[in-house]
Amino acid sequence: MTLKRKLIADMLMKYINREIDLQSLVSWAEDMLNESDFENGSFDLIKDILAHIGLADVHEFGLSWDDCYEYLRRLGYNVKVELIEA
Amino acid sequence: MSRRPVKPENDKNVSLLIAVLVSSRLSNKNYTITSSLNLSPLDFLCFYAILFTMSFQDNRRLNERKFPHWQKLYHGGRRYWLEIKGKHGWKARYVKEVDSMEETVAFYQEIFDGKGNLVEIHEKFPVDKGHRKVKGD
Repeated sequence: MTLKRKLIADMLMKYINREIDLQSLVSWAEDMLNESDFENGSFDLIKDILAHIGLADVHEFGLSWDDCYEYLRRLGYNVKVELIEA
Repeated sequence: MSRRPVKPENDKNVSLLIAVLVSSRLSNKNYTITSSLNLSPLDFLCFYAILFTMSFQDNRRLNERKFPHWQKLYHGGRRYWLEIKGKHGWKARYVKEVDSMEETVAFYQEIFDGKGNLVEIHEKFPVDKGHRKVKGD
């Protein structure tokens, strides 16, 4: 399997939107780092982001909103948060 | 036993065989290659060996690219690692160990504090044991 930037962005958005929890995101990132090939032209970028996400459950590494924003920006996405009244 | 050569008219069969083999490797399923492909068992083994070698080389190239550091292990395998910097001087190391066939035998994280002490290990593969604190002396 070749992992593309879009899939990482999708997984981050799922986490931000509470569709998956942190442990699922971390576990997925670790699996991808172990098993997958990465999109040509973005190999090092994907590797770096996955490696950091895979450590998000370690307190001294973590995964803040700023981290998510920065990862998505580096993946080529602008993030715009909208508030929807419940 | 003499090996029956693959004839030019068998090109389509060869392509099909390769496709089946690649497909079977990708999906981790075993397919029975029928005699309708007109290939001898030795032909089959030769192609499988070629594909296996390609897979080995691909895996090694990929691991070397993902994990910039590695050392040879006594059994012919390798230990690869990738270091990641964290906050307050902490760092982590992803470690991947493979056997002589470049198949993964272990994958884990090591967490080091600001003084370089190993404080935590997370064994991920073959069994996810979760995070384990490492006690100091």
